[in-house]
Amino acid sequence: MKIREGTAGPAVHKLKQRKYGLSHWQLTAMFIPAVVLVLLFSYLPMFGIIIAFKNFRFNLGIWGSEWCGFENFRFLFESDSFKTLMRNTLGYNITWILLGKIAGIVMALCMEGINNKYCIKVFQSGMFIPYFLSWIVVSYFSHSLFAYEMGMVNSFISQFGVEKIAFYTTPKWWPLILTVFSLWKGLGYGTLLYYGTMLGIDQSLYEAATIDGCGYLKRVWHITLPHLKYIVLVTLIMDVGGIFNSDYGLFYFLTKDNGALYSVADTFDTYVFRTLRNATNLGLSSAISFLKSVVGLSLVLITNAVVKKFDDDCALL
Amino acid sequence: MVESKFRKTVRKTFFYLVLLIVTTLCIIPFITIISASFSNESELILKGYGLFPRGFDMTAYKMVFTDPGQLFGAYIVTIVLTAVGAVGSTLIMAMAAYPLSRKNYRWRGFFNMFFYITMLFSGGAVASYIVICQTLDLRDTFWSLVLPCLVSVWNIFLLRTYFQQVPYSLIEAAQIDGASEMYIFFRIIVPLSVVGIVTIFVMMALSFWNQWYGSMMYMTDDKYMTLQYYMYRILSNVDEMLKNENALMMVNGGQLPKETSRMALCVLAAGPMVFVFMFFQKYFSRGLVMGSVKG
Repeated sequence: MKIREGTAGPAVHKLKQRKYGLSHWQLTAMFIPAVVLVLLFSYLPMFGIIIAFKNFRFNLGIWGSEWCGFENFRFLFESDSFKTLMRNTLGYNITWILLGKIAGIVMALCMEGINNKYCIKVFQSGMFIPYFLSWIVVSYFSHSLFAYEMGMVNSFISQFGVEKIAFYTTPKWWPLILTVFSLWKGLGYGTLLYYGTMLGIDQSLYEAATIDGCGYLKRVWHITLPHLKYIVLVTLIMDVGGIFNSDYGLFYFLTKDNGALYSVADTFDTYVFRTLRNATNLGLSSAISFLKSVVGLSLVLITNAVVKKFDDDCALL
Repeated sequence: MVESKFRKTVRKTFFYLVLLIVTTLCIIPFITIISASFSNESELILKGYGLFPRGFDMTAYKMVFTDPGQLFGAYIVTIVLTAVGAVGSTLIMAMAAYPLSRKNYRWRGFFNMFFYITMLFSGGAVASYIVICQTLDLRDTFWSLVLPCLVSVWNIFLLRTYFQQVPYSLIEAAQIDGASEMYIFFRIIVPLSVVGIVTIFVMMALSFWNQWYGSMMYMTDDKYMTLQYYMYRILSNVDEMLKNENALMMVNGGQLPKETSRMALCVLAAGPMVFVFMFFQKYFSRGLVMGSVKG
């Protein structure tokens, strides 16, 4: 066997790499299933977004349908429902993002404060139950609470001679009800997230602060909350990106899709969902989808930029 | 200023009280439903829902079990869906997360971006619906329930974080011993990230178990009705459950147990799974916290 001088080095190197080095193609092969699924179910629909500019007909398909320019958007902005949808979606989302974070942090502080492993476990499990339930199961709960004749709320208030409330046809109660249920369902998860982060805080900081004469509130304000900054900001960026999304299970099932409650319980997503079910007004829905995607994307980028300026570590991108 | 013992005790009591109230509020609805399901229908109608059963009565359960065909069918569909979906999605996502966790993988940046974009931008519900029903023609198939939900990019990134916590020297050592990437993944990475993988598995199982969207949107018949969708139909129209004549004859004379059987169904459908998930909670509460560590 002849070994030419000068090529031995690279050849050995190549051999070594093939035998011991990482294999890029093997790693890439592991991607295939996920990439195919993402291409089909995430990227393919992205092209479907052009139906916002088309007069979509199911029988003609996406490519066969006629172009109609900004007709769909014009209809959307002129329709009465747009304002309501906008107000409901943004109003609920902003309120819930803020309240959800506050509630989670408060509960986490309570858990940290009691410092009893067994009790914390019990409380945590209890608070997590709602997280496991679908909105449909929750709608059974709300039915047992707010049904006109037999609901617990009505039997309770009628004991005091207050007239029964027809919850399912009275819009004014629903902002409160929806908020309570939304918080109720997300509380366990939020608490866990914040409590877990709190457990990672160096305890000597608290000891030092106590020796220096800090009261409880000061310790929370100057030690605990700053440590939560990262997780709060990262989840905030995600939340802001989804500010036009809504959990349509919540709105759709809890209100039992009741037309009388649309004024306070209809959001972009429930509207789209309903039009899909009835196959009406698809043009409007696709215009909504388009706006949601585009505005959502820009919001994520803007929030991220703001957060980045504020604190580079907490930015997502 | 050292805090007095008294103030500490007051504070602790206050915390306990808050937690106790909130936890009770989280459990109460469940108790109400269970009590209602064991109630006597006429008494329930008279007195309304409450924390305790209104007259102990098992008619509702008898009623549900006289004609359990639909419930049974929905159970089987949901169990198969959950099993296939959770196992499949965990495997697929873990396999995608592993290369992303390898800092020296050549196309890491590209694939990171590839997945990340889908979190920022989506085609929306209308376009997804058209793609699934028309382009891919999955309407009325079992796969329309499974395939669209298999990959959750957020979970891929969580898994990536878990995998990154495995020391790189282990992977290097295995490579020197001639292990293939698949071998490294299944024999080193997976066993060392059990907590994370179980977390994702439970989350995916939960989302498949609670699936209703697919049955509602992509199905024109009841063949693949999931449990959740079945429950939705019962709540919006209890007569559907009572349409069977045998069932009507069994409860002849007395009041039809409409409300109670509704609630019995809710207990049967939601109850078992809550316990299963409570069992896993230990793992995934650890995993969720781990995943939220910066990565």
